[in-house]
Amino acid sequence: MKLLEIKNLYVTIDTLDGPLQIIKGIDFSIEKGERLGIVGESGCGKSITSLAIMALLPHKSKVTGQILLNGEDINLFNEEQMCRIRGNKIGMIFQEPMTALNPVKTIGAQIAESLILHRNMKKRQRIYEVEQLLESVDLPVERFGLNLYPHQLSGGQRQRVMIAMAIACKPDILIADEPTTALDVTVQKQILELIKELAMKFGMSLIMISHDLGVIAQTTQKVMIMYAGEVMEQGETSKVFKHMSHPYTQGLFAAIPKPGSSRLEGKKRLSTIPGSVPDPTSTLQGCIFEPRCRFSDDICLKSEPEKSDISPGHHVRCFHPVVKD
Amino acid sequence: MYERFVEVFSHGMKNRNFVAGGIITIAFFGLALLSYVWSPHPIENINISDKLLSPNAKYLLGTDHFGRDILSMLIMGAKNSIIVAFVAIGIGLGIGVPLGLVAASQRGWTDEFIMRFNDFTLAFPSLISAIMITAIMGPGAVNSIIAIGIFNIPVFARVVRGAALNIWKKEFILAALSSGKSKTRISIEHVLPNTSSVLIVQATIQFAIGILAEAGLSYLGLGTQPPAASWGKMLNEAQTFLHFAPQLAIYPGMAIALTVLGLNLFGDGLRDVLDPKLRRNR
Repeated sequence: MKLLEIKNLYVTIDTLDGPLQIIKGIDFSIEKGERLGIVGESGCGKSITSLAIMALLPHKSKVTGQILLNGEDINLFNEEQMCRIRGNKIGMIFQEPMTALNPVKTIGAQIAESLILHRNMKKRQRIYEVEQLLESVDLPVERFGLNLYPHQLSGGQRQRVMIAMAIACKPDILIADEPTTALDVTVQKQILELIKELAMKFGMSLIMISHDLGVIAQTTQKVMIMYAGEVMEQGETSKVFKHMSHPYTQGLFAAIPKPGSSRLEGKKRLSTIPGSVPDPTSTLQGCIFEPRCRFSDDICLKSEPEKSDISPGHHVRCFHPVVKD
Repeated sequence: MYERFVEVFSHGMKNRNFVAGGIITIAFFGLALLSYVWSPHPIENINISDKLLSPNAKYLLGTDHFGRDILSMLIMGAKNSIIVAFVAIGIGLGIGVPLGLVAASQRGWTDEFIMRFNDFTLAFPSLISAIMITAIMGPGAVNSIIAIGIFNIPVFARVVRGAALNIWKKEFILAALSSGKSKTRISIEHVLPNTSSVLIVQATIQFAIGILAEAGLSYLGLGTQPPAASWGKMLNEAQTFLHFAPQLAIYPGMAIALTVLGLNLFGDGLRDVLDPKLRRNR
């Protein structure tokens, strides 16, 4: 049995202009200790997917399909049961460390919160545990006391506190929603290393959400490329990065600036994907990526592509996958 | 906590409103506390031969038509005002804050219900409704406390709901939800501490309003009953002698005006100090 299995997930949010389909039937699964990356541009549904797993979507949203945690569908759980899963079985790290900590509580108290909630620990044991957690995220207790307030820490240090909070109960799954977007590049690398290390050390599965392909390459084993609420391509990270088959994936990779490709040096412009993400209110027929695709033809306009295998464990949703050898 | 207090205090010393209002407020509270240990003359003593005296060595502010010492009555009246306003705020906080927190965390129909009921309560002029309540339940200090307290409830509920709605949008609330906390727990442990500064400021303002309301009810004979002293009642009694003993009205009138002014200045100053976004004179 898989640790987490998502089957045919649809998320619809009611707005004043009518229902918006944000997630359109995605499937994926993750085994114990596996690290999965979700990539896509802003608004493609990466964060909504993770919030759906936590059952923390806004009130006006409807979820259909199955989210199976250890074989049980969490859509059928009530709020009380969900509270026992959040923080305990699934931990989450947020994008913005500056605002994701409560400014009026000490970091020690905030890390201890889920230990009180899920582990019912005595005070002395709790302090010991919090100190261990701070050590494990490389914030030595001698310098970073439990009584510090968030405003006394830097962005990177706060993100480490967030990580300590998320892993306090050693969850089975750790969801990191763009954990390094708000940090500068040197700190980014340290934080990514730390998240990966901790996931491996405690045997946690990791879901890494990012729009940065470099981040995904560094930390994950499997990857899922999302576009406008659909999965375009998914498979093992090494295979997808080597044989990118969907035109969208190719576009994403081509848009990474390469050293020496600046226009000042007389080289060609940075490649882009023409057009922009479709308005979620519009109902397109056919392939969702068709309007921006280089290879589109009649069939793409008329019908939606099904998943097809490139190699075992690597599928793509396209009529004209680019096959390279 | 202590550090925060020192920080607020040192910022406050640079704020004129905070300092001026603080001094008046402290003097007022000092006067009220003084009444517990000492007052120049017992206010129950009726001494007709000393009636309507001008200020002199024995009676620092003179006497009223029963020969009671006015300074003693002002001191006792301060105590009375504080107790009434304090308990009334307690009622407002105790019921209004939970209602506001529930409205902000549940949203939807619960929110609508609580807030519309709030609007309903606010739609009645508070003093007139307080008169109605005391008229139904009978005059007296306790009933006037209840009447004023009831009108503090929607004020606090509304202020807390507004502040809490803002806090609920913050990412640390999502982080708290993702660590498995229930909404009730988040309201108490995360939302409430972050709304404390607006609550403190609102409480200072309601305090001033409470004192005014108490004086108003007592003036009408619906609040504090004799022989207990009250500023409003002193004003009422002074009315008859306004032509030949105006000081009887001036002293309690000034006491009310000064206290309310002091509390309002203090509340304003405190808001500037507690909310850095509004801090003007540094």
